[in-house]
Parts: sequence; C-alpha cells; structure tokens
Amino acid sequence: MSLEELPHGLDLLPWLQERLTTLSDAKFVAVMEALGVISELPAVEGLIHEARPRLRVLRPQRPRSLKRPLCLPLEDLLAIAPIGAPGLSVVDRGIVDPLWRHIESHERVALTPLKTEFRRTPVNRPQQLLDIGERLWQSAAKVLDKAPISGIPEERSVLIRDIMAVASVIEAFKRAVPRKPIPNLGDHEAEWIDQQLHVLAERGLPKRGFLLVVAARLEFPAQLFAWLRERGEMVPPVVEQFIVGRLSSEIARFDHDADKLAPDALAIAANDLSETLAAMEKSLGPSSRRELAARSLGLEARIRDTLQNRIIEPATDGITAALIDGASNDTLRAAENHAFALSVSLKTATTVGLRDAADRAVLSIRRACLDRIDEMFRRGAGGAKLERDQAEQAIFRSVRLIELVEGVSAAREIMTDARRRFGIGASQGRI
Amino acid sequence: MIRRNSLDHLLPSTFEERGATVPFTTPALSMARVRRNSRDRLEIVVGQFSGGPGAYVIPWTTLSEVITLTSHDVLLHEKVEERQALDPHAVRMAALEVARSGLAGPDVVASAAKALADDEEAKALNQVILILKVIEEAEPAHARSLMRDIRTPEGQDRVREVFFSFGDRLNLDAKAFDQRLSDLGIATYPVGTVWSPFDGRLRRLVRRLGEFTAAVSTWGMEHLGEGADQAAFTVEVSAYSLKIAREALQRFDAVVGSPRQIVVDWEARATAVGRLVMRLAWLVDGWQPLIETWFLANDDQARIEAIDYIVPRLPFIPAKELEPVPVANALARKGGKWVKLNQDWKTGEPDRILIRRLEALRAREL
Repeated sequence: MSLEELPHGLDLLPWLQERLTTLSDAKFVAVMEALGVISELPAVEGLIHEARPRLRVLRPQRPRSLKRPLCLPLEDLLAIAPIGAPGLSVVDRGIVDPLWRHIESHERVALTPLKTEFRRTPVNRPQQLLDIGERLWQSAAKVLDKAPISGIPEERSVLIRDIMAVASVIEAFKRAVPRKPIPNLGDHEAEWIDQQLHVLAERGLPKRGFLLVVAARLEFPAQLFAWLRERGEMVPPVVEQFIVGRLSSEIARFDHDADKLAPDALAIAANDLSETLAAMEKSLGPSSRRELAARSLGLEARIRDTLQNRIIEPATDGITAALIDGASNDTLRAAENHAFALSVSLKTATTVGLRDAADRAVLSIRRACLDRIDEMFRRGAGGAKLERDQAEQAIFRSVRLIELVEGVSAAREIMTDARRRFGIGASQGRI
Repeated sequence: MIRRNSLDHLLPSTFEERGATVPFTTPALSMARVRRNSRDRLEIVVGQFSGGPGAYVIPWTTLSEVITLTSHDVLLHEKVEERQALDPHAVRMAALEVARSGLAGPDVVASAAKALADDEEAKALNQVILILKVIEEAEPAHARSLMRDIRTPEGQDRVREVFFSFGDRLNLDAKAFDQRLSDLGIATYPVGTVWSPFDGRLRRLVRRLGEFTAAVSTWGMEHLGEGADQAAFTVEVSAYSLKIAREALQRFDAVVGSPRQIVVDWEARATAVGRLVMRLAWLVDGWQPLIETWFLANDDQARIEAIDYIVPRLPFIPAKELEPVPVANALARKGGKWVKLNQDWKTGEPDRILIRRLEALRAREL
C-alpha cells in the first residue's frame, strides 16, 4: 500500500486497530510512541487500552504526558487497590483520565505552554519538573474548586481538590521522608508531619489530603491515628476510613494469597497482619473499631488454621528431612524455609492460641537435631578424616537449623557443647 | 575550598588503619572492619552501632561478649584471628573457608564453592597467559593461535610445550622463567591481565563500581529530596574511589604488560606488582555488598531503601592513600549526617530477617 492510499487523521485509527496484532514489536512500539503524544483523545485512549497487554510485555518508554505529574500527589492513594474489597480505595485508578480531561477542558489555554515546557524538560531536571507540577496542581485545585468532576461522587471530587491544593506540601514531605512504606512513625517523621501541618494551618489549607497521603505511606497507618489523638488533633473521618479500609484490604490479600505463599512469606504475612490488627484495635474510635471487627470477622480462626496446617504441622517433617545423609540442596533449602517460618510465627501462634503446638514442634525439631549431633559424634570420633569432615558438616547443619528455629543464643549453646565434646577448637580447622 | 577540620586526626589515615571489611552475617556487624591496634592486637571497628554517627572500636577478643553473634560469625571471628587476616585477600579466604561450613545456608556454600573453583581456574589461566605474553615477544603469530584454546587444559599444555621448546629462541632459562611466571600468575590472578579472555575479580569489581556510579548518578539526577542528596553524596565518594582505582589499574597494567621484564628484574618488580594488587584490593574493599544492594533494588522505593543502607557504610579512602588529604576527610565527615537508628535491641537476638538479607547478599558477592 502506498502512502497516498493510507487513511488520514482519525480515520487512521480503525485501520491501525485492525493491524496492531500483526505489527512487529519494533513497529508496534513506534506506533504506540506516536499515539502517546495524542493519548488524551478518547479514540486513541481506547486503542492504547486494547494494546495494553502487549505493551506490558514489551515495556516501551512511557509517553510523557502531564497526566503523570498531575497524579504525583495522588500516587500513594492510587496504588492501593484492595483485592476483594471494591469501593474502599480512596482514589480509584479509573479517576485519572476523567480528572485529566476535566482539568484540560477548563484550562486548555493555560496548559498548552505547560505541556510544551514539560515535554522539553529532560527527566534529569527534577527541580524544573517539580516547578511545572506545582503550577499544574494549583490550576487543578482552582478548576476543581469551581467545578467538580462530573460523573463521580462530589465528595470524591472535593477530596481530590483538597489533595491538589496541598500537593506541594505533600511532595515536600515525600522528599524529606522518602522511604515507603515508612516502617515507623519515629521522631524524624513526626517532626516533618508536624512542620507540614503548621504550614497548612498558616496557609489556611485543609489537612485531610496531606494526612491521607501520610497514612498511605506508613507501614502501620494506625500509628498516625494514635499520634494525632495524642496531640489532641482531630482525625479527619476520611483518614480513619482509609486506615480501616487499608487493613480490610490486607485481610483480603492475605485470604487471597495464603494458599500460594511459601511458608516463610506466609509466616511474615500472618505476623504483620496480626500485629497491625492489634495496633489498630487499640487506637481506633468506637465506630471504626466496630467496622474493623465486622471486616476481620473470622480472621483469627483463618490465621490459626493457616499457621497450624501450613507452618507448624509440616515443620518437623520438613526440617528433619534435611538431617539424613545425602539430603539434597533443595531439601535443605525447604528445611530452612520451614525453620524460618516456624520461628517467625511463634509470636502470632501465641496470639491465636497455638503456642503450645508451636513449642511442641520446636522441641521435636531440637530433639531431632541433637540426636543427629550425637549420631555424628559416634560416627566421627576416631574416624578417618573424611568421616570426621562429614560428621562436622552434619553437626553444622543441625546447629544451623536450631539457630533458624530457636535463635542465635540457643544455637550457640549447642555449638559450644559440641565443641567441648569434640575437644577441638577452631584453630585446628574444626568446630 | 574544603576546610580542614580539627577532628581530622581521628580519621583513619591508611588502609591498614581503616581495616578490612569482614562479611559478618550478624546485622549489628554488617560492614565491620578488622584492624591491628597500636598494641599489636586485633580490634573491630563497627559503624552504626548505637545509631549515632561515628564508629565504635571493640577489642577483638571481647566481641562475642558485646554482641550476640550468629554461629557463622562465631567461626568467622575465630578464623580471622587464627589466620591474623588483616587485609582484604586474607579476610576473603577466611570467609570462604567458613562459608563452606553451611552455617550461612546452602546458597552461601554453593557460592563459596564456585568462588574457590573460579579462583583456581583464574590462577591456572593467568599463569599460562603470562607465559603466552613472553612467547608473543618472539612469535606474535604463534601466540595468537595459541590464545584460541587457552581456556582448555589441552590449550594450556600446548602453551607450556611451546614455551619450553622456544627457550633458546627466547634467550632465557625456560625452567627458571616458568617458576617465576607461575609465582607471578598466582600473585596477579585477582586482577588478571588486560589480554586475558576474562577479567580478574578485582578488575571486574572496578568495572562494576563504574556501573554503580553511573546508575546511582542517573537515578539521583532524576529525583529530589533526601534520597537524591544521598545518591549525590554516594556518587561523590564512589567516583573518587573509582578514579583512584582506575589509576591503580592502569599502573598495574603498565607494569604487568611485560612479564619478561618482571622476571628479569624479579626482586624489585615482583614486590611492586604485589603491592599494586594489594592496593587495588584495598581500594575496592567494602564496595561489593553495597553495589549488590543497589542492583538488587528494582524499583524506586527499593532504591530509596538501598541508598539509605549504603550511605552510612561507604568505604572512604583514607587520607594518606591519596592527595589532597582534606578531600578524603571532608567526604568522610559529611557521611555522618544521614546516620539513623535501625537496630532493634529489645530482645538481644539479632533480627532474623536482617540476617537472612545479609546471607542472601553474601551468596551474591563471594
């Protein structure tokens, strides 16, 4: 087909749509890049949406659009899309395009030079990009103040306006406390939150958008709740709802993923969930506590079953399998995974009433490891070098497994005892 | 201009004073360094011990009383003392031996076995490569053909055969030359030669430091805030180390470029080569776990966490090892501003998840 025969303008889109699947990777990426420049057009957006599965595989460079800096202050809230708990995310990802179209339709003239400036600014000029962002957020807040986004609940539109209005404060906080999730609301983080709250108060701006983002960035958002309460600050309802919603989504994720996780990851997930739940129950207000109780109904029983069936019961067999002669590396890796999982889950086991079962498993593993050490002494003592070396390796393996299950101090006792019995120090190259 | 600080005299002035990094798996000891004190006793320098800036110095013999060590580290602690391992090479060999115990897990055992096998292969290859270089002086075309199979045992045997058969033409005592070239091969294998089919470990590490510097620099330039400041500081330190390491590598390549001359002037030149290898080992000492930490991070949040881990552990070049002195000291002082408390002292037991992370890092870096 010659160039003259090709359809023109928007007529080109259906023609392209038919051929997208047959294009080579390179041509496909080139077409997507070209379309990226006009990605705001609904017809183009549809085309890009269809091409998304292939784009995900090829991962070409994203087209640079002002949509991205516009959504920067929202990114922590967009990222949280709860599994199995629809409607709880604070800002649904689907809001991005309507928001962008809304701002663009009201501020077309002001945005044109900003778009050009943005496309011309290299990615390694973050300060310039931030300046562009700040102008964009101000425009967005102004537009949303005058006209809410149509087709979405007004309260949602007002919330986005509030976030846009304090976007520069949000971004300043993110630069000062860049880790995410923030593992702990410590002095450094509290100082920065305090400072930003003062700035907002001085400027007469709403605090909830900023606090919502802080909550979203915290590993344990309930800490923010407790901190605000301690200072006598009011906790905005949307923040409280978010905290409960976040936990609900973690519960849903746990239920969804539990069967697929290896014992170590499962133990960590159960532990985190149980700790978060305990921390939140302490700090929430009565209505949120009731809501949380409803959402976490039966969770403790599910955690208990998971711990019992996936971690505690299989631990002894999984670990002792590595104590026989000729155990493969895979068996050893699996045993280490079980040992780590059992150790991590001890605290949760106490919470859900499984401590006795867990302790029995630990004891039986310890006994098996000590029996193996005794057996190795019998085999290795007075034996040839090869036998002694093999015995030594097996003893180290037992010590290692005890260390993983019971901790460093328990392993150290056993290692010290083993060395005394063997009568050999490290200077001889042996234990 | 960088102002000289009144506390500069407290900073280490030589590599030996800074100490060699010991790959402990106990989180409180990550990146700790061993050195000899003025009373000729071993001591350990621990950064980030209390969460404050600066470093703690603990007598080597009392270490296990101060910190609860993992079983792996109990052995490593003893092995370092037993071998008086005080330079990067000696510490590495001690660590490899202990790694084989399995006390840091099966992946570390596998990595240690591979590292030792790679060392043996590199030694054998390096010896033959040096012999080939001598042959090349007389028979360049022949040397090129021999190069093709140099990685196979047969190819290496052929090089030796040719070398012995060319003894007269090369105007040297082939047997004596072979012995010295073997010694030279063993001394230089950690770096390897430029004409070798693969890089030696230290040369590879210098290259990796270059990649790390470029990657952190690019990332830092695209961000703002504390993470970007930390990245810029990391690049300042790594670029400086890289520059010095590349200069040292150039000097090494220039000297090793003529193995024949080294053998002829053995007493003076062999010692100089040994010193250059050691200097390179010191220059890159402590970088590998940091580089691996960075490249393991695969998204922005992980990189922010990685840079937070890296900054307090940056290995500064001691003042007397380079000029001008104030630059090194100013860099070392600046690093203190990002020190954060990151250890949980509630139970006295080292954090299991952190131990696991350090073991995973060990498996990658051996």
